[in-house]
Amino acid sequence: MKIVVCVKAVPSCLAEPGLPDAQVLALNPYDTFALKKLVERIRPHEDTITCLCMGPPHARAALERCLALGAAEAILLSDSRFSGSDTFATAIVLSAALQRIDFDVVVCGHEAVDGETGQVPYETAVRLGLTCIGEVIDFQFSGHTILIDRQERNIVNTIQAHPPFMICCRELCLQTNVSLMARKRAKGKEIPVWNADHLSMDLSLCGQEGSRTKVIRSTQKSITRVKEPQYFQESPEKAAEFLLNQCREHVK
Amino acid sequence: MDFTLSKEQKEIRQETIRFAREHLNQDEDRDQFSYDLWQEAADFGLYGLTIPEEFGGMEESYLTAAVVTEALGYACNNNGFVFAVNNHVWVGLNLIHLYGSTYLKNKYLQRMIQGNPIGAIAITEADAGSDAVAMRTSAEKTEDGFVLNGSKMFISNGSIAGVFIVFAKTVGEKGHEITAFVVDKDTPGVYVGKDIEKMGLNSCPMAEITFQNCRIGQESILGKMGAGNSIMQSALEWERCYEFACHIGAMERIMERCINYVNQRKQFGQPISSYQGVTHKIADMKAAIELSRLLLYKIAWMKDQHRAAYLETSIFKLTVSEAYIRTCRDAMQIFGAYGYTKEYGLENEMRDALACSIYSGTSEMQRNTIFRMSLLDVI
Repeated sequence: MKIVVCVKAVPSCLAEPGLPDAQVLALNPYDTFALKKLVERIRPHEDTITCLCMGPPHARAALERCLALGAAEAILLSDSRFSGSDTFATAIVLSAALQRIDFDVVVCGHEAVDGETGQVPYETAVRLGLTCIGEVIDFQFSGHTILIDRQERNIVNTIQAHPPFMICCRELCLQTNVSLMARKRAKGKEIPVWNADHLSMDLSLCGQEGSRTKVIRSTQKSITRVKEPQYFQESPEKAAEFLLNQCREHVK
Repeated sequence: MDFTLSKEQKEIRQETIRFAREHLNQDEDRDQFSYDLWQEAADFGLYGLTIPEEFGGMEESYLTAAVVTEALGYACNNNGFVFAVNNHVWVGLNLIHLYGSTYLKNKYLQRMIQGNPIGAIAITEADAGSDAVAMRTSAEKTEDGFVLNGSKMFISNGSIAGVFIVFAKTVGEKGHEITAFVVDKDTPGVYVGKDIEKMGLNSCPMAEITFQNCRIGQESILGKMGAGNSIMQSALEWERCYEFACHIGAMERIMERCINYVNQRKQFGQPISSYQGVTHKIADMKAAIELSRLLLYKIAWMKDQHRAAYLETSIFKLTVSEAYIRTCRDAMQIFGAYGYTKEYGLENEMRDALACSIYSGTSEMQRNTIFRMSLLDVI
């Protein structure tokens, strides 16, 4: 089975907090979980994993990590004309790339830890006409199908799915280990870079021009930390009313 | 002179820290050697950093290996395990790579990189510690090889090793000389004593190794006949460099714990970081770490240039060992009564650290060496 994993390179301070000298970009933890789970589950000589990442040139580091983790191939979608893409434009680029790749299943992480929209997998699936199965926690390959464990609240449903389709994994994995040799081998592998010309894209659908939403301003919100805990010792109804009033105050 | 690490070196350092934190810090592995940890470290790639790719190594520079080793000491608080790793790599595997015949390299390197057999170096004897040259273990020449007789004491990795680098007295053209041999543990005539109980470094076993009419072939010679003294000197250089690279990492780990603690702990209404009596100790830790690191990188650079670094490694070993012990002592003092408890782990660090002014040549011997070699500069 041919599997494509869509991954994102995110700021490493979000992906791996507390690690000294962290690289600028690292693999999104939700995608790390998806890829690790796949590597555990694939059948040698039967299934292959290709990782696809849209990002700036130095997002290559995230794809090298994918190769070190066990992906067979990696492709970087990089073009200055992709810059500023919102989830809509990103889904257009990803789906254009996926249409050039022969796949059975597309696997994504639930969301990226920087944007946290969780929209790109579903938008991409719609563009490709794929069923997208979300909240996935595990899967098993079985012949030409996949048995998928999907969790909603405390219920786990096992679904049998026939390719092609998309999986969206709900768990994340903060730390990953690769052997130094796997790392070295990954560094030496070629990672093709596809730009808008490779994808024969309509440039009006890329980047900021193609985005339906535009960020016009970013400000840093100060977070008020309660230095001393407040103890509320009245009835549950009073406590609920107090909390509701607090929430309303903060929303204003 | 550019002192910055390359991007690649920073990444490898990060990878090592990530690995060590996730896999090597289980409490249950602190008091005895763990074969599981050993294999995980082998699979990660810790044992073949500088070995050529033809033997399954990574062919990295000695400077990169120093960065990795320091990172290992920083992220892994199982000091005994780190000690065992360094023994295996730098005075086991590395010596076979540098001085071994093609036969020995083909026989051992790839397997040792994969973690089996474990290597150990056997120099010290009950009556030959600092005066290693006074060893009595003999290798008597026979028609097809040698017969080893004698015993080695305080051999780190002794009871877990599958191969020993043994130094023994041989008779050559110039009379008695020292020759190094590579001896498999399962060679008839090799006896491994029970583990010696120690104050610290408990996850690195130490034992007495006895040789009784142990017959080995000519192909067991490491280097050549009579070259044992120079190989021993080389071994000590490597051991002093990389064993103590880990201690720099350990010092940094302990210093960070102290910094976190002094910012949280309050006495007399203020964090104890307000008191110079406390913070000066941390400043001394930092100064020692930075100076040690500079010398480590210089030594590793010299090794990459294929230069001897006997004086430099002697200075390095002396200063790092004493700084490491001082760091542990000061950390215990900073933590007060908590530092004296087992729960906080600092007493364990102290017990592990105390050995380093003894092994690989005592501090007194280092001072002798430094003075002697400084004289050569002046004359």
